[in-house]
Amino acid sequence: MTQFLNGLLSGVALGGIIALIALGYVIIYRATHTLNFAQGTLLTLGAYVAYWFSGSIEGVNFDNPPSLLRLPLLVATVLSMIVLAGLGWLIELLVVRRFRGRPIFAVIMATLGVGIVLSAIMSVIWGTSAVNLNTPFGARWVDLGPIRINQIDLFTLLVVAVISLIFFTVFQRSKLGTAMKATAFDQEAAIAQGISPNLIYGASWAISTALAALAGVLLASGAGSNAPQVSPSLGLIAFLGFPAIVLGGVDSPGGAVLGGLVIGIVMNLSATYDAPISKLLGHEFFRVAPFILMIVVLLVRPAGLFGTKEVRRV
Amino acid sequence: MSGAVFTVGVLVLATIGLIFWAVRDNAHRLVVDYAMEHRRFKTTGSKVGLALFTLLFISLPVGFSWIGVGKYHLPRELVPGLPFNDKWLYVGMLAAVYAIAAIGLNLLIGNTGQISLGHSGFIALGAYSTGYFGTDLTIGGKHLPSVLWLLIAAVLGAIVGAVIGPFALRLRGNYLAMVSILLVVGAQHIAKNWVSLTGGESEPRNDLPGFVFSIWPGKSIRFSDSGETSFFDTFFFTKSQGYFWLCWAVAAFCAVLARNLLRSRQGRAMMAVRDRDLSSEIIGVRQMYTKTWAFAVSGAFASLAGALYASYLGNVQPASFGLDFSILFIVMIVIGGVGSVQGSVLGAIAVASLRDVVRSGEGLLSHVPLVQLDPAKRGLTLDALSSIIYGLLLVLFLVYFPTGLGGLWARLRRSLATWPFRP
Repeated sequence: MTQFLNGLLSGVALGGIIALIALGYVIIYRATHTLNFAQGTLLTLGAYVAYWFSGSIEGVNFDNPPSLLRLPLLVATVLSMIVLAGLGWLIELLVVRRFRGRPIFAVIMATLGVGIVLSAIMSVIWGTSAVNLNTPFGARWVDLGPIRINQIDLFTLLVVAVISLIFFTVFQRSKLGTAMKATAFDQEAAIAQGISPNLIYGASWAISTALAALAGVLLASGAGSNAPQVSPSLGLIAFLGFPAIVLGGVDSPGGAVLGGLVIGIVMNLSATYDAPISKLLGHEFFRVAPFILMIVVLLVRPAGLFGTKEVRRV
Repeated sequence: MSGAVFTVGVLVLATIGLIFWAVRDNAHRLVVDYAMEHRRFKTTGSKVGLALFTLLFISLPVGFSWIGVGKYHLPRELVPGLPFNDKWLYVGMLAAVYAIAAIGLNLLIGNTGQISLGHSGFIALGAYSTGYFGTDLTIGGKHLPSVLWLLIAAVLGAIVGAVIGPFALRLRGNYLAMVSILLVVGAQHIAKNWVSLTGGESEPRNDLPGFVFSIWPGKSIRFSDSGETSFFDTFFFTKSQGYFWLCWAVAAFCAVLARNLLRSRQGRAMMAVRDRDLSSEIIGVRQMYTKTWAFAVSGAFASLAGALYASYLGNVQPASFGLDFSILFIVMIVIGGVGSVQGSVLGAIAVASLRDVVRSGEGLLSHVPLVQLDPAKRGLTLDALSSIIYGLLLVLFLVYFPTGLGGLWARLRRSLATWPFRP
């Protein structure tokens, strides 16, 4: 039971990170009807930029891989989110904007190309070796009766809750949120109301990449029983965002958060019980489990749990 | 001296003559009726060009190799400055294998419009099927003939493709792309866990079968690393040369197959599904059949490519069939030209050779500031540089040349055909 609860809580933390990534996907999908395959790279970049501002546990490192300043990680994270938001806006401005009205395939591939270039540039600047992020959490944990939960996991849960709350408030109440919804609903009508779609698209990309940066820093701090390191393979988690948004429906932000949590829990629980599962389904089944879950949901509900059903017209 | 002047003069005149002929010949590209549109060869020039190209490809490993061909040894000095040694032969072979898989993927993505990121799953299937049918399985103490396990690999790929095809009925566009990731993840999971077949991650098997070309029972040619292989003790060739010819022969066969498929009713049905699936359904194109067919053909091609690839390498790791391997093929068809068979081949050549072309420019690049030649050090290494070029090519082709290299070539031909008028 303890093992189960531990796995569950750690899974919720991992799910929170996946939820942030999935939220990023959904925001971009609603604005530009694209999947952003560069999200994984952007997430890693976010972690590296935070490292750039805060240094490693050992201190500031000018040599290899280089970091500049030694700010507290919280400040560094905010700076990294701002930098990445700017980068996201730039990607939309320079690349994605040119693909308006082109087939989905072209846009997906373009984001992929951006990802490849960015990760190569990242390896040029920071190399390929892993570094320890200057995290204030370390390996400390909180004991709740028999359950032991890492501080970083608790903190991650808090951050994800706050971010979701802010996001949904902004999304529901503010002018920007309403404009985003209007543009997603009917672009021409939105333009007629005086909403600039370019602004909305840029802002969507900026918000999405900022969320990716946040997810990257949380992941690199060791949330969700991850190794507390910044490394180029950090971005692989972004692929788990796909089952999450499919589960929730690609155009539903709430669904994305829920889907992310479900995927994180499923993944972490199947990792906790890997030994009994592996007898039947093979070792490391937890890598496949989210995708199996995705396909099962899709075959029952093609638009996901909360997505809008696609209407086909001739 | 005067001899050299004479040679140059003849060459210049011949080139000018050839250009004039090509321009006149190209005029036959202009299509006036439906039958003309569906000719296999559009002009005499394309026939001659294909023949010359085939000749060039057959002679590439021979004319420029340091091994040469036995008694009929062609001097390497034939084309100075083109050291087509085993390294480049490997790149050429890789390009052929990539081309086979890319042609299949292009039929699926470019012509049927079904985005699949799961292509490396099919390649893994082909690779490991050679392990079972080529090495493990013996009938009466004898291994299966190589042609047979290549065919079995293709058939297996087709079967798995046909099983997956119906999923595309309910899922389209973005959803299909996301779901197809399961193919890669699943294939990797199976490859890691089916230890008796694949050797797992810790001890990947290294006894995948080499290709044995049997002419008749008792007389066969084995493409092996150990020394030179001979053909009736007359022609001697190395493993790389043998595989180069074999893979390009298969690639040419697949290209012809794909071209013919696209000229057929089934090919037009595929394109109708791509352009507007609902409308095509209404005019009587069976969705189920067409999509399943497309997935099966694409799977067969990929699996065949995987079998050839594994047979050349002799060993494969489960980890090498990841998502980035799938993406490689998509990059090929984007650079080559979405929906064009010759584009897939061009794209495959471009992607397969990119890294080695960048590396061969080492001497030149060492003068460029920022470039770091030591791969162990941090900085703009040649690998990073080729990754940047690779990504930039992808984005630039998508933005400026959406029809890819194949489209550029077609545009050039068209402007030649209508010269001196604008098309």
